[in-house]
Amino acid sequence: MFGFGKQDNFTEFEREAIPFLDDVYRVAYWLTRNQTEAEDLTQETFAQALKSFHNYEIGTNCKAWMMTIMYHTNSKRLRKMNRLQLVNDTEEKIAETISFEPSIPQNLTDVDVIAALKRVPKNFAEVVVLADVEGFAYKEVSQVLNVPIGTVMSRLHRGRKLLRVELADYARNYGFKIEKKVGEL
Amino acid sequence: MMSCREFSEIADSYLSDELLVETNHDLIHHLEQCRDCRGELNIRRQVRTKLRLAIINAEESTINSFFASNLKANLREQAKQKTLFSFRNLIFAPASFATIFLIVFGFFIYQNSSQNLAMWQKLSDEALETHKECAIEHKEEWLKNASVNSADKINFKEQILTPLKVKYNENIDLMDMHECYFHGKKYRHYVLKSGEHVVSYLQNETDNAIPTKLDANNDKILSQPREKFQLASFNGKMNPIFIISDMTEAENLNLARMIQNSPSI
Repeated sequence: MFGFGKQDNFTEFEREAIPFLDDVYRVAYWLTRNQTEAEDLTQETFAQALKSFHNYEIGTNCKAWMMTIMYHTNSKRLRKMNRLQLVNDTEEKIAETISFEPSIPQNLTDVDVIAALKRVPKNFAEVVVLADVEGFAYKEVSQVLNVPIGTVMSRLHRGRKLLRVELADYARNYGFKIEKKVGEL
Repeated sequence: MMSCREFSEIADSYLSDELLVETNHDLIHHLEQCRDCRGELNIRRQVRTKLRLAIINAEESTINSFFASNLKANLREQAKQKTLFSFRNLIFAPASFATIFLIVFGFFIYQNSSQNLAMWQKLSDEALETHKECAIEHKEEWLKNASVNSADKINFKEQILTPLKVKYNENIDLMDMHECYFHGKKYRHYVLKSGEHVVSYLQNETDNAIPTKLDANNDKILSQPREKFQLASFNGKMNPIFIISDMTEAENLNLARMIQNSPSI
């Protein structure tokens, strides 16, 4: 009733949802790529989660539930700002045309890795973050983003490939020798 | 036998533990025999770890502690208000529903009584016309008949007029009683004489009694001036009854009350 049902207190919410504050903010940042927007999105997400907490079943995956709310909230925000974009064809084509994957040296710094991820188009980077950083299974990513699992797998494949290429570019700038593997040309 | 290219395509899914058991088995079998792919897998694993640590440790994607504590405080406040709101609703919801019900019910009653009042006005207008066209128009004729006593007249006198005389010392004569039809309505018409005033006691036998209180004082008699006449109306046992005269409003209403209170009405 009006927000709280069987979990009729804030303590429950504090125990289940608040521990994911850092994770929600982190994904929000990679979604918006802007700290102020990420804070706004995090705030809206938690406010919405608190309001809908009676719909959450204790013991299920609260982090995934929070992420779903966050993506839904973000879609609404983007729609309001007329900034909602479908996956760009050009980005799809770029990802599609990468056939050569260079080896990645191990001496890259965190800054290089972050910079490389930033160069990956948002739609691909977000699935990489959800799956490879936040540890969601493909099925959970599909539920969070509300897209078919096949789309998730395809975006992940391309996103990872793009990231590897970007990382190799950074390595090349440091003077690492990139060798093409036979059969990948 | 899995090729290196095939391995390269599914290596990440292997790291994510998303492969089918059979494919997993094939991949492991390939790894056992391919040193390059073992190296490649190792690099991908390291890249993934590096990526995860880099993002988790990145200052820009780490939540500001001031913002975090503010957000928690806001949420706590929001929760308090929500609980308070729910509690208020718990208390006030029945009261709100009752108020809405009373408003709707009151409106319904108002509508209903408005409709009934309109019906009374219409019947009153018709009765007034009957009074004018029958009682007033044929006044001389009724005066001539005043001395003629029929059984019905005696009956009416005994049941209505004599008790009025005894109880209220009211001198009212019955000049005539008949049935008349005006505007398609049948009336039982008693033409009375109170002093110099001609009074009509009209019982509308076409329309049923209207089940409503007639005026704001709840005295069940509607009294209203119409043209130069006074018209008082009330429900009889079966039909509406109208007392119409050119007396003052108080006199006409008083007479109507006395007749209404008569046991025979």
